[in-house]
Parts: sequence; structure tokens; C-alpha cells
Amino acid sequence: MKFVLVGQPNCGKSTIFNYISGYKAVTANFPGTTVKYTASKLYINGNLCECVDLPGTYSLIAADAAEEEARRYLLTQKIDVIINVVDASILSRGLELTLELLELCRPMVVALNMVDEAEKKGIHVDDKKLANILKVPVVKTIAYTGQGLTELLRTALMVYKKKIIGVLPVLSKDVEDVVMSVVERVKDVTKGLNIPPRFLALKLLERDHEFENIVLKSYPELSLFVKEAQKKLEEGHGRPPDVVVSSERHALAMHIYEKVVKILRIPKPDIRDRIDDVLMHRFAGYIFLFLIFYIFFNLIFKIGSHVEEPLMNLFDILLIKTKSLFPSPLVKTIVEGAIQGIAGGVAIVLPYLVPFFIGLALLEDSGYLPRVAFLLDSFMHRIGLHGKSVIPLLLGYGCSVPAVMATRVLESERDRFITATLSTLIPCSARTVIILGLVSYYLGPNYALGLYVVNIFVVGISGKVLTYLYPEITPGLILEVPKYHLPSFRSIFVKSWYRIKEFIIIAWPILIIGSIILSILQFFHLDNVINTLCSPVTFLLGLPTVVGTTLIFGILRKELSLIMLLQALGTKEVLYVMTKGQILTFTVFVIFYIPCLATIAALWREIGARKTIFAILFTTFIALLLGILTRGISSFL
Amino acid sequence: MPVTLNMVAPGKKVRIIMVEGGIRCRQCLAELGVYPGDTIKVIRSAPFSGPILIEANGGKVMIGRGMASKIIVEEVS
Repeated sequence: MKFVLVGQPNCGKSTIFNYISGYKAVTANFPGTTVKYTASKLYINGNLCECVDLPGTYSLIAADAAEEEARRYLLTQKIDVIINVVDASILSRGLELTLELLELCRPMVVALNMVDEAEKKGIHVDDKKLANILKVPVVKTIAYTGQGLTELLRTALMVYKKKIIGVLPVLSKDVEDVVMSVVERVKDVTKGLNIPPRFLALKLLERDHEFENIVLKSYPELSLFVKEAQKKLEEGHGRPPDVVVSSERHALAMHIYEKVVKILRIPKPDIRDRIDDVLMHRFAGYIFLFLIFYIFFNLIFKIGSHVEEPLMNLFDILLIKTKSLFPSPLVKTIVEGAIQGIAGGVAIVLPYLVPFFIGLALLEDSGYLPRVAFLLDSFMHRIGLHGKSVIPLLLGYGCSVPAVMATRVLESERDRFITATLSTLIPCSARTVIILGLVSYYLGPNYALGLYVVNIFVVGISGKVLTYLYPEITPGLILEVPKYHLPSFRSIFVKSWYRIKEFIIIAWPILIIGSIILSILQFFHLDNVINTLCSPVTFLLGLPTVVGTTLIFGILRKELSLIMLLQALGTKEVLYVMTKGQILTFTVFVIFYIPCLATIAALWREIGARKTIFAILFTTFIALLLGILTRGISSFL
Repeated sequence: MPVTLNMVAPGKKVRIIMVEGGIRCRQCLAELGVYPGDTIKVIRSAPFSGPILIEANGGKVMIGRGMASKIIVEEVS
């Protein structure tokens, strides 16, 4: 049995999914968080069900890649129940998707979510009346407290058993006639496609890009017929056919909305609007933007460095103690490598990573990121993109992989490519660890801050260059601005834990193994071979040749560069063997050079092989250029 | 008198007459509940020719200047 959660972005689908499946989906307060679907198995009244969380979609017209994913899933997979999640506080808009979903003729239940939010706005929704109109059950829920979710699942099971598919929305007479005439014609076509004929007819009239490509090309006669039908609609209403159909649905949704909603009172001025008066202010907004990110990174550094030092000392003592335990030099080397790998994870990476992920989760869940898109849209236009690209770029500070995947919310392929490439230039949490652990630690926090500022400029200039190479006007910005949410402790905790766990179970073992391998390589003096191979790069950058190996390992995981560096140099006091200038050059190069393997895989999937190779060459070129530049500048320091 | 949305001062309520952009533009707006005939409120605009924030059918949407210049509206009192 398969249940699928479908709803518009920010309606709380993923929160519901997490509640019932024990936290697997990533939630955030902006559109496009779930770019791929997440599935989980659970038992409802002793029945094993598969529950799927689809990316948020405003409608079943696929406008961007994330929405395409949702629609393709709905149309091609065997689905037993659609759980349509609707934000009760913006019910009229949500109902438009509900009406489209009814056209799919599947057993369905509506989760009327965020009813508390709606009541706050003075909106009371009559769920019984709504169920009566749609002819499918409606369950009131408050996802983040879990209220109504057990009933929702029970109802979904009931809907499945009784096969409740609701009623098809009826449009105005003249439109309905045109639709029915097309339905008759597409019946044969849909037999092979497993799509309800009426759904296909509506989407063809709405000039759905994908269906036009699939259907009309192979059925020229149908194509002519649909064109005629569209013309009829256009002549009858004086509007393009897509507007006629979508406006019909809009009017129907408004009509239902007015029937089921009681406005209890004029909404009180919301404190959250006052927050926007400051945070989206044309002047103060930018000051707060700067302050918020300044505090964000400063706090991470303060916390991280306070934890790093005592832990490192502890591991130093441990290292000396264990060394004397093993007489065999090879075993000693291996143990040493393992301890250094473990120490790297506990003492160097985690102290920065934990506060970083908590902070990022807070920023995401609060709903601040779309405001940043609002403030920075005009700057993004200057580099040939628009405000929506800000979100993938900001996510890049966390990890390049989700950043690359988040580019799916962008409409044009060119924007996706440029944003994905730029997002790999943003220092991710792993590279933040390097910046903080190396530059901030040895040269001072101001140098680290300077690197971030320089990075933003580099991203800007690279954007300009890419725009020059791919001249095409970016489609304008349209983005929903969700309400602020007070992030719940549980959600922040679980989300951060989920990301930290990813480091612990995937990256950390690689760190330890990498560290051991390097020890063995050093023991047999094999690292010299790699170092020699890398010597053209290290020579150009004026770095000690021993760092060559660390650069190669860094491609596996960026954190490795730092931990390997300490190991390759054979000391924790980097300043004994490297000058401040060399530390800076090394860090600059590591920030920009080849994305890590996981990112390359994500790029490959999202923008294709050719563009991925271009991105790798492009970023490496920038890294070399800036590395040499840093070397030159720092020789004056 | 009809004007384009980017010309409307913050705080004003306007009715959408038509959307001049292409089908993608119309679909994107419709997805967020912005239809011809609806009344929307302009809340604020970002500096440096940044986007415009509007309220439509209970939700808030930001629209870039370029797109806003293709939306024809008239003021309602």
C-alpha cells in the first residue's frame, strides 16, 4: 500500500512526514526543500504502508524541475492514496491544487494543516462542509504538534479500503463543453499512458509544455483538434486558453473558499509583519543581513575554538602514551594515523560543524532565507541571475550537495547551471572548518572574515564571467515569502543531528581511513610519488611539496586536506613549517579547487557530464589563479 | 487608470487587469495565486530596482521588477 503526501511548498508536508516516519525528510521554511522524494515504511493499524513525501508543488503544471519530479511521480507510480496537505491559512490557493488532484481520480484525503495559524488570522474553516463539497474526507491537523495525524493516517486507510475518489470539479458550461470534446478525442491516447483522459484534456488546453511534447508530436490530428478547441476558448473569453482554464479553477477554488470559510474577525496586526518592516527594510534590512551573518560565523568560531584547544591537547597526550605501547614501527605508524584521524573528527571538525548546523537549521526554519532573496535580487541580476539563486548559494555554506540539488527550483537550465557552478565555490561547512581551523586559528579571525568577503566577490565575478559565456536573459523572480516560524527545538535538533550523523557515519570513517593510508604511504615513502606528481601545483603556489598528497585527499572530503596537512607536516604547530602566507595560499586554493567527489556526483546528475567537467576545470582555474595571487600578495605581509 | 505593477507605490491596493508576459510568466504567477481580476496589495519594494512584495489571497509573494512591469493593474480604493 502506498500513501503519497502532496501539497504546495511550505504547507507542512515534510513536517507531517517526519512526524509519522521518525524524521527522514529535511524541512525548511522556503520552497524547494524536498527536491527529491523521500520514502518510509510504517505500520497503520497493523497494515504495512509505504509513505512518500513528494517535493512541494504549487500546481500540476510543471513549472520547474522540483515540480516536474512531483508530477512525474504522481502520473507514473502506482499510488493507493493521495494525502493532500493544504495550508488552512491560505486555503483558497491550496484548493486549486486540490481541484487538480481530484482530476487524477485516486483515493484521496485532505489534511487541513496549520489550522491554528488560520485561527490566528481570524479564519475558521468548516471541515465538514469542505468534505461535503469535495466528497473526500478532510482532517484538521497541526503538523508540528502532531495533532490530528493519527486520525489522518486512519482516514487514509479508510479511504483506501472504500476507494473514495471524490468528485470531478465541474467548470462553466461553455468551457466544460470544450473540455468534454477534447476528452472524447484523447481517450485512445490515454489508454497507453495510464492518465485519466479528462486530466490530459485539461492539461493540453492549458498548453502544458511536457504533454504537448509527448502527445501532440505523435498525434498530429489531435494536435489540430486541440488547437481548434483552444481557439474556441480564446474567442469565447478574450483570454489565452491557459488563462481560461486556470481562471476557471481559480474561480471554483474561491467559490469553495467562500462557502467553507468564516471570517471570525479582522486579523490583528501580526507582530511578524513588524519584523519584516525591519528585516526587509530598504536600509535597515541590509544592516541586519550583515549583522546576522557576522554573528552567525563569529559564534561558530568562538564556540569551535574554545572546544578545539582542550580536545587537541587531550589527543596529544593520548598520542604520546600510545606510541610507547607499540614496539613495531609499522604498527605504531598505523595506530598513530588512526588516532590522528579520530582526533581530526572529534577535535577539529565537530566543534565547528555542530554549531554551524544548528545555526543553519535555525536560519532555514525561521523563514529568513527568502527575505535574503528579496534583499539581494537586484545584486543577483547584476551577475545575470535572480533572487531565487540566493537560496542555493546560501545552502552552499552548509554543503555543496544540497546546494546543487536546490538549483532545481530555478526555472531555466542556464540559471541552474550557473548557480550550481557558483555554489561549489562557496565555502561549505568542511571548508569553513579549514578556514576557521587554519586561517582563523593561526592568522586571526579577521583574516577568516576577509576570506569570506573575498569569496563573495569571486563568486560575483565568476557569475559575471559565466553570464558572459552564456548570455541569455534570466526569467524574472517570483517567489513565495512564507510566514516566519519560531523554529521548534525538536525540528532543529533532529535536523542538525541528521546532518551531523551524515558526517559521523560517512565522512569520519573516510577521514580515519585516509589518515591511516597516508601514514602507511609515509612509512614506505610512497607519498613522495604523489607529491612529485602534484609538485607543479605546489611549486606554482609556493607551498611545501609535502602538501601535495593532502590536496589529492581533499577531493575525497574537503576536511581531509586539513587533517592530512597536520599529519603530512608531522606537527600540530603549522607555523613551525609553514609561513602565514603559505597557510593563506593553501586555504585559498583549497576553498576553490575541484569540488569534492559527492558534489561532483550531484553536479553530474543535475547539469550533466559536459557541464560538470567544465565546472571542475573552471573552479580549478580560479583556485590556481587566486592561489598564485595570494602568494604574491602575502609575500608583502 | 491602468499602470504596470512596478509603478505602484507600497501600501496601495490594485486589481490585476492582465499579465502581458508569456505563458511561463502567467503560469508562474497563477501558481502563486496571482490571477487577472484579483485584488492584491503592494506591501513594499526593495531598493536598487529590486523586487516588489505583494499580498495575494492571503499569501505573500515577491515579484521581480522585470516581471512586475508586465503586469497591468488598476488602483482600487
